Amino acid sequence: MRNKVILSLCIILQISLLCGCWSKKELDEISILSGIGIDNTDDDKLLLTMQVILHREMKIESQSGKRGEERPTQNVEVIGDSLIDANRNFILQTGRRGYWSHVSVIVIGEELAKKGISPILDVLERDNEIRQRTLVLVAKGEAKEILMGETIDLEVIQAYNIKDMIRIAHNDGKSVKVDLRNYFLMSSKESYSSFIPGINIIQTNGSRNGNIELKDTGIFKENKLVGWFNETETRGLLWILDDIQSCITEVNYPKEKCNSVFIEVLRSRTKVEPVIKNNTLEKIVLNVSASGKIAQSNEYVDITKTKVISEIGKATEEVITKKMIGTIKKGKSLNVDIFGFGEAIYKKNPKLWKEMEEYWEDIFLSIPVEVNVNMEIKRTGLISKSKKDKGM
Amino acid sequence: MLEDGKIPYRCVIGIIITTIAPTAILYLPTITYKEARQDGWISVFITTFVGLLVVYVITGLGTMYKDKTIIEYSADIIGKVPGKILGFLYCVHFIYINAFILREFAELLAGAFMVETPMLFFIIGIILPSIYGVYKGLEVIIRVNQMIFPIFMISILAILLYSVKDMDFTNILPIMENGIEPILLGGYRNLLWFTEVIVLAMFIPYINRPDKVRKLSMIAIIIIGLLGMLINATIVATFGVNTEYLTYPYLSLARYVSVGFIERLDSIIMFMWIGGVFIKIAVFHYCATLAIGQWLEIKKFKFLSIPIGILLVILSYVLWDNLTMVKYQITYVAIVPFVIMQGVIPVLLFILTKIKKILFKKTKKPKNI
Repeated sequence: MRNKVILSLCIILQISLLCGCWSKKELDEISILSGIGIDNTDDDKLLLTMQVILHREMKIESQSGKRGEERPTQNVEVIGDSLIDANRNFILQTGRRGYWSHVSVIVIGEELAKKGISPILDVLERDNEIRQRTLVLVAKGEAKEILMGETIDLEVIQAYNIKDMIRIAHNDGKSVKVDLRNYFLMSSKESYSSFIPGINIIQTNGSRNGNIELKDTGIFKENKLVGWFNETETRGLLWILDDIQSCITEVNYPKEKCNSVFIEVLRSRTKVEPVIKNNTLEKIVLNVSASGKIAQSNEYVDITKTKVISEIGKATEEVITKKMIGTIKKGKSLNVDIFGFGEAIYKKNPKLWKEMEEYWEDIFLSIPVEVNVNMEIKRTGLISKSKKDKGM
Repeated sequence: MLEDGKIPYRCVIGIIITTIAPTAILYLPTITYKEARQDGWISVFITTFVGLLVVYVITGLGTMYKDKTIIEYSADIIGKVPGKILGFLYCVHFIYINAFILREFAELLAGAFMVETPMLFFIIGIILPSIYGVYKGLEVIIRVNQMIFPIFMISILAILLYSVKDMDFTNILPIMENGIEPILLGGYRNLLWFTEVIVLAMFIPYINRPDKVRKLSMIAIIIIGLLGMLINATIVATFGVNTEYLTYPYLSLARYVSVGFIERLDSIIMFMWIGGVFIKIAVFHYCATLAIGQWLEIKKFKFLSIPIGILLVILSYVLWDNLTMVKYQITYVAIVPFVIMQGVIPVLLFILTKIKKILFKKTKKPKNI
């Protein structure tokens, strides 16, 4: 009997523990954020644009099966001295705490990026709600406009649209993809430089706030935006960093015909090889080996001849080499080593790197870079030769 | 003999791994990285051999004194009074190290998961089942571990497997950048964990086949060594230079995982942490209770688990102000007495018994003739 009393007491006591956690967060006390835009104001404060998911709208949508006029998101703009402060000021406008765990993109305004983003980086790494997989972008203009911009309505939440854009564009070799972990890793490596994909807003007819598009790559040195890489240079950067998943390369074949053959790169591998002789750095060699297929061809290309195919391969190699060298030139003109050359030297010969680390900026400008590309055309698609037009 | 149950010898592998691994996985990589940089895995490799040596010594002592724990046979080896002093030191050691473990456990939960919850709540929450488990005996703890251990291992390996695609193993280059010294220093920081096999010195009398223990515990240490090397290399490959700044690199790794719909694996860490550390705390709690029971020569010693539990709660809450202090102490201060208690003293005892044996034989032989 006594045992039973004790047992039932234990069970009753446990019930009081079962009703929930201490640090619980109920859905009606928080607002889930999907994207963040960070700008700076004229008086050196931060302007946070926080995209809130309105679960009420989402619910109506899924019940009725059709979409209303409005997006199920709303942008809230708050000003604060720091990221944390602005986040707390969010409560003053909404009466809820912002919940950062589902933030998928962080867009940084151009002005802020030029001034330097070090102050906001610490919070982004320290806070336990923020995921390291959150993508980072830099706006060409103001970040708040980007979050208001429009795209085709495949994904109802704008920030998730941007996330998909980056992901697929990166797979196609059109844009770099940088999340918080990548950024922290890049910016703390030997050269202290990093890059972030750029995003732009274009005014078109029929859209209120303009459409967004991924454009260029922002180049950062010591967490400050120092310049932009255009589309070709972005592609070159991806080639150098061995980050090409797949991409289309245009080739002139025969030489006088401009952009007449298109090669889809299927596989590629780039190796950065510093050549060190007698304890001095002689040059840096980039070895690229890639394979691809013909995606579009013209009537002059007779694929039945193996010689022609190898000639196209040679022509592709030239194009890729040109792109990479152009990118390196641009990098040298900005004096940022985002290509990981310094890192490659450190990994190969740490002692030599220690000696040259101090003067690396000067060495980087003068070091010759050699690019060797080996391209193999492996497949030619479903037809062999292009059909001739009658008139020609 | 105070404990009545006998433990099947096969459980030794599991209990040793869950006694060492949980806190090692979460806290060690950063500590090792601070010393050995990207060569942390070599440090773990070296320490594994020291761990094997300690296992050899402890099981050697255990087979020589088959039904005695270290508290009892230390008196046999070095005499009654010094043996009692040493026994007392071991009682203090088991309580003090457990206070560290408790605090580390609560710091992670309060720091990374439930920020608003007071830490005392977690400490009391884990010590209550631990008191109960110790009260019920060693066999209960080990049976619970048989349930927790497989899930523990699977979740660790799953996180490693899922994060493969984000790794860049060139990050562990260059190897041996600053020579061997930082690596050895990193290995020394690891020693605190690898010598925690000292709990075997309390367990061996209760295992049904003490002769099998040496082989199995060596396997356990090798598994922990491999796991440690793998985790160190993985974390450096994923976070590179940033490893130094991460408080819980393995947690960061789990949070970073994203394979298809498999995302946000913090909950696995949560399970692994609560399950694994519960066993770890219970094992050390049991060792402390048994040690004090044997030191005072009390027959019914298990009620001691309650006062020791209360003492543990107070100590773990009062001794340190914050995580920085805890980490500083396990890295630089407390590691010295811990390694002495867990590693150096067993080795000395072992050497002493060996010398005694040789001397004994020499003096005995003429008598026999």
